[in-house]
Amino acid sequence: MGCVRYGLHTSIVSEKSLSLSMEHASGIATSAVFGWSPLVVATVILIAAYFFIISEKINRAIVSLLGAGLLVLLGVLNFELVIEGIDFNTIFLLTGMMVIVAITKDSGVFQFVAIYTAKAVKANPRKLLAALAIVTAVFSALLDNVTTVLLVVPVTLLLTDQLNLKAYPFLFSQIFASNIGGTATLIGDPPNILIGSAVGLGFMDFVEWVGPIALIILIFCLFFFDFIWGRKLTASEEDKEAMMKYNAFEAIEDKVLLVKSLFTLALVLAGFIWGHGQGWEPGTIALTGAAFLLLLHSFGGKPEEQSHHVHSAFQQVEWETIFFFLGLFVLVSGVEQTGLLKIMAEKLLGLTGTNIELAGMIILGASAVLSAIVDNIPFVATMIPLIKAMQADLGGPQAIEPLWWCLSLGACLGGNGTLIGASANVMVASFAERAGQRISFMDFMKLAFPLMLFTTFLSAIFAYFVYF
Amino acid sequence: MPCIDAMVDKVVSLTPDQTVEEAMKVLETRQIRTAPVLDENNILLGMFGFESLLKQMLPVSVRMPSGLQRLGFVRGAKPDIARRLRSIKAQSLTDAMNRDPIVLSPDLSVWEGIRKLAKHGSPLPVVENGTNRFLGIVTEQSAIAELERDEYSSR
Repeated sequence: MGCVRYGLHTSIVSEKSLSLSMEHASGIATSAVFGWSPLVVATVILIAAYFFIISEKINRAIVSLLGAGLLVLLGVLNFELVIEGIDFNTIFLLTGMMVIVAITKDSGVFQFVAIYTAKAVKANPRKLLAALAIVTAVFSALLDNVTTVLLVVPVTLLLTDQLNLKAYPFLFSQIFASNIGGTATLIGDPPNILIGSAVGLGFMDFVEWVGPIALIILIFCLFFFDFIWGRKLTASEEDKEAMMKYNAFEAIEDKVLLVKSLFTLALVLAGFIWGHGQGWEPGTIALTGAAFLLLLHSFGGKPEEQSHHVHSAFQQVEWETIFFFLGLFVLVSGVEQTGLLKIMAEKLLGLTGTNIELAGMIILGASAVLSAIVDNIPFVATMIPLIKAMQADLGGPQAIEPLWWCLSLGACLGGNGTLIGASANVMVASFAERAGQRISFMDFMKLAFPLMLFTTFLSAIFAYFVYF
Repeated sequence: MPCIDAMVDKVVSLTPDQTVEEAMKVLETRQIRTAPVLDENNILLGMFGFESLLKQMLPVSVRMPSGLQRLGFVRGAKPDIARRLRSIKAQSLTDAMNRDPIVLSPDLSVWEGIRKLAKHGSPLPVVENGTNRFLGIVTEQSAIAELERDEYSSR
């Protein structure tokens, strides 16, 4: 299998960060407080943090921040290393997109698209199942998948209620669609944001290398869902006629805001695509886009109105996620700086040798299964420096690029395996419960886990023939 | 000036085994909007009113937390609306009432009671601390009357 060469945009910033990290690694304290080994302290704190994050006994943001604080207080990291360990590009990208989505959603565009789509398929339940999944996938690719389901699921519940249909097939398909759509782009799913930022991969790199397999998997899933549910769905003519009376344009709450939001989103997407070649980090583009949309939204208003718009947008930022990421970066930096990840990388290299295909398949499979069970964000955050530590033995940054795609595919698609595999799944389950249509964890897993494994298998075939 | 002083204790009440249709007749006959639902020991189980009924008529996607904020795009009635209304009318109050109403304690300051009335609407039931035994209700009128009484008595 010939190695396919493709444009690797390893960012100068990332390379610089790596060399800086190595400088600090050599200068790190040889002992923490009480003469403890920094390696042991960092490892114990990371394992404890993982335990509490997985057990969900304590909020994950509290766990990561407390762990980060302990690393500093116990002398493993100093403040400079903390700041250096935080990937501000990821933080800015997440925050910027959250602000943009918070303002955009007030325009009603998401409800409009869902209702317009339902009318476009003439309220046919079979077509509606596929159409809403496609809408979810597209929104998830361009925004984040949690926001997408937050906005699409209530409309779905209304439409299924209108057609006297069970919501379960629609919600199940939307969970899969949101995670598959999120896989396709840099901004669709947090693991991709982490990978893209750490390695310097751009928006179009993801579209080019992960997009095709995400599309293949989405099409396969649509046929699969049609086979098990879609072809059996029926609705009365009376109910369909009632839905056809819906006026999708009435769902648009603020036409001016809609235009401003879509204009900004288009600029931001263009910035992601064009700006990568100019060395613009996605975080800079997203945060500048957020500020631009805030300006458009507030412009001409009285000072108190402007403050209201800004406060409202900032209030809707998921600060829990942002602080979770901040703490997590420091936790991972702790085990990276103390050398644990280097040891783990050596172990992994001992298993795979310099066989990059084998390394890719192990990363793809392991990340898919683990992401179905545990939060994929800390897993990916830990894997990134681990893979970086392997790059010298595997032939350098360009040679290991397929490993990043394998990690992305495994971590994003793995989230489909269980009801807790991704934040979007948890959100859909919560909506279903509120609507009195509870999704059972085991019932979901019985179908979702094998389907997730099959989509991972499809990804492995794609990876083998295209990436290596 | 505690809430118990602003309370009306002679109140029309409902029982959980009554149907929504029976409860609606009581509310219409007595020309009231809301009434407490009490068990045989006078324990408050919930509140039922026309507002609860209207909420039941809304799609669940609107009623649930973080649900749809607007329904302006829905044109024309749902075809089975009459069937749904009949089904709701046949429900017992156990299923239809608000099981988690805002309550006032008898010794609560009337000003805090007024703040809650302004925020959550009228009437609010007053229940005994700990036992949830129903004592009465505070309405906008009873709260204002108590404030006036207090003003006259302090002159």
